[in-house]
Amino acid sequence: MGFSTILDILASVIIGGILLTIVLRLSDSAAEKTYNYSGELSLQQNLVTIAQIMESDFRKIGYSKDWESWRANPLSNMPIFEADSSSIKFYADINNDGVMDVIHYYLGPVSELASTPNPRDRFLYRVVNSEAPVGVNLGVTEFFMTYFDALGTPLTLPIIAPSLIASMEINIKVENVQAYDEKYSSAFWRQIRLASRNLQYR
Amino acid sequence: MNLGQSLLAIGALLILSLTVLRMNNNILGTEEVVLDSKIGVLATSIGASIIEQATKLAFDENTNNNSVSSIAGLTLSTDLGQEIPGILDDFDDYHGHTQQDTIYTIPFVSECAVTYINPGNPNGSTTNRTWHKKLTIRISSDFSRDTLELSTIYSYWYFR
Repeated sequence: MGFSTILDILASVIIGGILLTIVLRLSDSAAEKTYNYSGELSLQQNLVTIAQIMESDFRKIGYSKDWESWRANPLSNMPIFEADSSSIKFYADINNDGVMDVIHYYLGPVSELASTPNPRDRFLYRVVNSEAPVGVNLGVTEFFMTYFDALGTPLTLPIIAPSLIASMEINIKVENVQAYDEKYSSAFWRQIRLASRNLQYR
Repeated sequence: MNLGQSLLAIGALLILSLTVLRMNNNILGTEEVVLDSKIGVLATSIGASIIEQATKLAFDENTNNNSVSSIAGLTLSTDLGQEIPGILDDFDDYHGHTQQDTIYTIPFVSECAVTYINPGNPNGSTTNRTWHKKLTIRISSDFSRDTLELSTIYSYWYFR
């Protein structure tokens, strides 16, 4: 075996190695993208689901099927009775039975989901009346609200007089619960100035 | 290495290069679709917000404080739009209204148009006054290929 043959073999091994690396990287990249895109699809579906449920609930703030008896109730002057940046409590006849329900939305602490790979995800709780809070992990990492009065002026937190709230801005950010190589995708929803029909007839 | 082997090696490299290019092309294409979809969600939230704001206003400038019992009492289709620039106090004030929003550094431009419609043809518009108005919002962004269009119909009811 001459020197040139050894050189040929060496060159082939090097080129073969480079090609193998390219193919492996390609395969790795394809696996990563497939994983991430599936995650992206779920997170966007999660976001849309959250937005739909929240919009449906928030539009009903102050609504009652039995509006006459609700109107006679002094509580009807304050359909939102607790409001903070990431928590809100309000009255709404959610199941349309004429009985007012208390709806409480709030964001749980990060520590509750310490078991998931994503260090930022939290439970977004939706509690109706006195039922026990049940957490469903949809990958919510941010949930904050800004409140406005009837003139559109932002109300400063903490809100001392929730009866002044005429509209609100809802911001939600959702991330993957787990991701390939810890590269988490995210999606946002910002409902600018959601105004419940029944907030203006106080 | 003879000529045949060289040609085979070149052919193999060519196929590999094309495969890599195709893969990258597919990945970038999917990336674009994902981004478009994310921007679409944000654009939908802006459109829904505008619809929300518009539908809580009065149907017409003339129904702001009083009721109207004849379509002759409504604003002419040529006069739809803001009576006082910058003040949106009835539904058709959104005609010609342009709004700019920036959400998470992505700029959006929303252009609104309000027309009267015939209930028999809600997709069209009419220059005649009717009890129904349609708000169409076109939301675009430099970051997205598509323009999102949302519309809603708002009707006026009175007791006869």
